[in-house]
Amino acid sequence: MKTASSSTPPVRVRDVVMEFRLVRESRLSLKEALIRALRGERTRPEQFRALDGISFEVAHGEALGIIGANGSGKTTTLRLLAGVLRPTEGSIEIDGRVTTLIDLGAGFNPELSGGENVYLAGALYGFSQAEMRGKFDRIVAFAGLESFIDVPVKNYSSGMSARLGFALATDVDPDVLIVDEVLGVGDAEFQARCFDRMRRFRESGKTIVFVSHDLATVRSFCDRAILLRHGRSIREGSAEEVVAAYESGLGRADS
Amino acid sequence: MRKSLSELWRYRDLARLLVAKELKLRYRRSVLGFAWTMLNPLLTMIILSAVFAHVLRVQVEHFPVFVLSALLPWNFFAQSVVGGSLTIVHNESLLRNVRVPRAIFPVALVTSHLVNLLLALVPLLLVMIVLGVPPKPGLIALPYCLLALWTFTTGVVLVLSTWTVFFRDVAQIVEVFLTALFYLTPVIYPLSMLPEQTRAVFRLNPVLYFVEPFRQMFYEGRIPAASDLAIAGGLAVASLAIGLAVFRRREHLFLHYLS
Repeated sequence: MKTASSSTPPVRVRDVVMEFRLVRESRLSLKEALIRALRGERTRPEQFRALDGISFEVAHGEALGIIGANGSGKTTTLRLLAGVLRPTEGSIEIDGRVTTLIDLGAGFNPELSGGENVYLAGALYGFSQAEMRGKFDRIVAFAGLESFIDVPVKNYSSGMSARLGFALATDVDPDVLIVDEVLGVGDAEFQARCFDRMRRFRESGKTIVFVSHDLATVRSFCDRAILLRHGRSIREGSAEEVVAAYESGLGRADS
Repeated sequence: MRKSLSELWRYRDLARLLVAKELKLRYRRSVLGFAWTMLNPLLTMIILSAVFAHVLRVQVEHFPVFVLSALLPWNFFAQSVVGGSLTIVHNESLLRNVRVPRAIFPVALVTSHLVNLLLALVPLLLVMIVLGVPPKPGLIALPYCLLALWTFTTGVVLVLSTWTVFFRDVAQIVEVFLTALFYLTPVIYPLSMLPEQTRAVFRLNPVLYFVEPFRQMFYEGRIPAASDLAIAGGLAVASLAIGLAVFRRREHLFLHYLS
């Protein structure tokens, strides 16, 4: 709710546990499932605990970094925040519109032109056609793709589609922006513009959750950070301090 | 059910764009473009007419209109089911990243096939005029029949698109099943050709109640019996309710199985 006082953190994650069903080899076939059902065998899929009791809050105007080795639960955390996964236990509350920058450009349809994809992606973020028409020129200009906007996305370089993805996700004016390891694509100049935009975004009181292996960026951009290991938060504090702990070997996969 | 439907309605702009996308992609790849939707059933009709009228010597007056009027709704159903089963699997990367009502993908796919069906009705009307089978006022029931067909098919597709996520052989099973169903549904033969007892058994096939009215309206030129239309309406609502229930119960697990 926008009326909530600014002291209530807009992102509230409490005791979240996320278990996945471990789907071995390939999925079951319907035929096998029926045979097992007829024999009275009950197939209980093995569970894999990706997150084991995570709690954190992110305040207005704050950028939280989430770091950790591969498989520590970073991406699962982001997907939960994005609302595409439902936690097994615990609760996640987010006030306002959430936009994700996971896998920039992954949602684009390669056969459609950049422009067609802008409208489609806008609708995926929940905007009407009319609203997107108002944003269209600005998005295309920010991505620097004016002369390529009618070209199918399959002919874009990865940098081009990432630029379009970033321009889109930040122009839809979310209240909470979730950024995955994505800004590595695009040249230095574009990255600088992205950070500039995210900084202004934060200054206007919006919230950012940032996941990255790029420790220098987390250190310089985020206020606070959380270090994950095997689905648990093992260190939480200022970005400076948590990154230093991770660099000293805490939370490495083999530690 | 009301909640799912109102959620889908809020995303109607997205639904419209997804339908447009389906149509664009389908036609961008072919030289003939939209004309193909109209040509395809005509060619099937010519083949069927040649086989039945000349090789098998089936005596049905105006066979092209007879067969096309039932073939078009059947094609809609079959193509929606085949394509629709895969919609969740195919839209995995979107589902992974964006929070949208997931049912929008199967619904949009079925709707894109409905647009195709509407386009394919044009050549049917042309064939009717050419063969001297004038369109009759019975066609006033057409909007109802189209809505019932769409609703019924959407329910079936919601169930199948859910199962396809969990079981890898659903697509193959569906294909075999559709072949059988095609012959169990009076498309290439009239229901009246069957003996009385067999006909009663064939009437247990729900698809019949969505195909037969089209033949009655276009070929026989009459309004389908109110009782049959009522059965179609009931089946359609039941199908959609079951489809949404199955889908909603399972959708939060989709990402656990897609990989």
